[in-house]
Amino acid sequence: MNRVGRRLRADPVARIGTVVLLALVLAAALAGWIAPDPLAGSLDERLAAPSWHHPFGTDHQGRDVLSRTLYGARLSLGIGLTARLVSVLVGGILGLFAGFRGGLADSVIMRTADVFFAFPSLLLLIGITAAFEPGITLLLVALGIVGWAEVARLVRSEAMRVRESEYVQAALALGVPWPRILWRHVAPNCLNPLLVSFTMGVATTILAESSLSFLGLGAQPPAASWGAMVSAGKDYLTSAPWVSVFPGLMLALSVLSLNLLGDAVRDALDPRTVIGNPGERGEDA
Amino acid sequence: MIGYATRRLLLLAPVLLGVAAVAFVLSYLLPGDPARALAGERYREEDLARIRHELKLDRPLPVQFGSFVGRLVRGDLGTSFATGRPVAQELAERFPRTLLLATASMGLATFLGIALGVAALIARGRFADRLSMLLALGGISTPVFVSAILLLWLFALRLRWVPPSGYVDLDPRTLILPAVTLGVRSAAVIARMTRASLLDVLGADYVRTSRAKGLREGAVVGRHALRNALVPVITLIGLDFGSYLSGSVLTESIFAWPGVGQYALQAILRRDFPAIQGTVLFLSVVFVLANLAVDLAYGWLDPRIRHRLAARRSA
Repeated sequence: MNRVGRRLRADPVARIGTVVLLALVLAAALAGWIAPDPLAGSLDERLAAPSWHHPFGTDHQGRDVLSRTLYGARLSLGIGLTARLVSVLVGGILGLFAGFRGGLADSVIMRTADVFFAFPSLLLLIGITAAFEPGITLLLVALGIVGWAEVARLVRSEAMRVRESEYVQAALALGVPWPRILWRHVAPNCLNPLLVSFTMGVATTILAESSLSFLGLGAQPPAASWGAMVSAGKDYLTSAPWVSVFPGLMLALSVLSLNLLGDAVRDALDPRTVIGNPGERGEDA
Repeated sequence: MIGYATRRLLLLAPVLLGVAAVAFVLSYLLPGDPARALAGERYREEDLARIRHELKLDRPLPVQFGSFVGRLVRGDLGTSFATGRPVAQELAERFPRTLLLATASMGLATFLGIALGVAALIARGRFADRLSMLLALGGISTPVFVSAILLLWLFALRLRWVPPSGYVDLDPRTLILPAVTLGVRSAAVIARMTRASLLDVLGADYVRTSRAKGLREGAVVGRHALRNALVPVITLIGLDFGSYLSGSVLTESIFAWPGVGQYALQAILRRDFPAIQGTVLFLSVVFVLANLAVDLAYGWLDPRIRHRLAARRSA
């Protein structure tokens, strides 16, 4: 891990990604102190152009767009990180189990994953979120569920490889119980692909969340969500493009910084660099 | 190769049954009662019961699922509650428009992506390389709905070069914005893959040989390296094409493009059960078949993979 850390610190791409991401996280964390109430608005100031008082202008309800964009960062980054953690945990555990145990467990888990792969993911997300009361918890569960199959497939192949290694075979021959082998020997050796999948996947999850919010199926008003803000502003594109443009640019910037960081983590862990990892595929169209 | 394709096709049956089950369960989880929606605001209980009976919604769920699968096997996707028309007919009308959009987007993406990837490689290590790869990463990172809105604002509303949305038969101008929106995103991914793949290939012996015999860098890349480097790129193009064929929900909705993606979204938002089940199943079949076609094309393009498959079969 020290070697990986050194490579990451030396990589300018990683440094740019980290600085931008840290700035966004800091702005999101300090939003309560540096930005006015994102829900407070005055109809006298509706659709006001960017100015010293409102650097990103105001929306159709007179609310400060900068303030809402900063609060939106909390929501998007929070949901992206948490939902991806759910995917990685669920997919990681199932993938480890399927790869190490094989047999019926492997068949059942991987055929279920195949069913998930057969759905265009945005369509599945739309279906799940439309079926229940919309809200943050539903978003987390839906995004977590949709992402597990890709992680499980990745970890399964790694677990299968590790299972065949001599130290695991030796432990099996010595009669060490399999859950202990799985936990002590196999899982730690499958951490690299999990780490790459997590870093790459956060960006994809943020894009998926914002797409759902854009369609009105994500975080509900009056919560500030980048996708919903872009959607609300599209009716005022001719008169007040800033309502859509600023949250859209902030969304693109955060995904770009995560992709830069994800690229760097992947390169640091695997010097051969495999471009085209599913995690970098961006989003559904 | 034929045996491999047949085996993959047979393996699709249980996956599609799983997809049918998920589509069925999902549509029944959706809140709202289609019978009540059809009965209007002022209805009597007996009208509601009659509509439920006509729609066969009063039968037990396993019976409904059984008749759903039975109809699917006969190629009947049911009748839309919202329009009263067969779902298969509505999909048949919309699919060619989705196909048109997918083809135009991928055509643009292929041309732009490969050109940018090759240009970046030729200038590798220099400012132009870094800038083009940063632009490509920006393209991947920009959500489709954000680039759609930016393009709409600039080219349709401010410059008024193209119509903002809608679909008009035989008017290619209506195709430009949705195709560019999708195409730019794919072009970015293709450019990165082209550059990375070319970089891999440039270390090969035959490339060193062609340099040693004095070929210019352009000829080395264009005539020798590119042909081999394009195999994974073509796979990527196929996968993106497959995903666009299975509906570009966001792009079609923003540009009011009447394709299958827009139909799927409308069906879910209207709680139109047969349309949801039929569309989800149709799109999944298109998606899975497109992925299978890509796998097979990969073997066809690269003889090494074909031989590996044959060796595994004979082992």
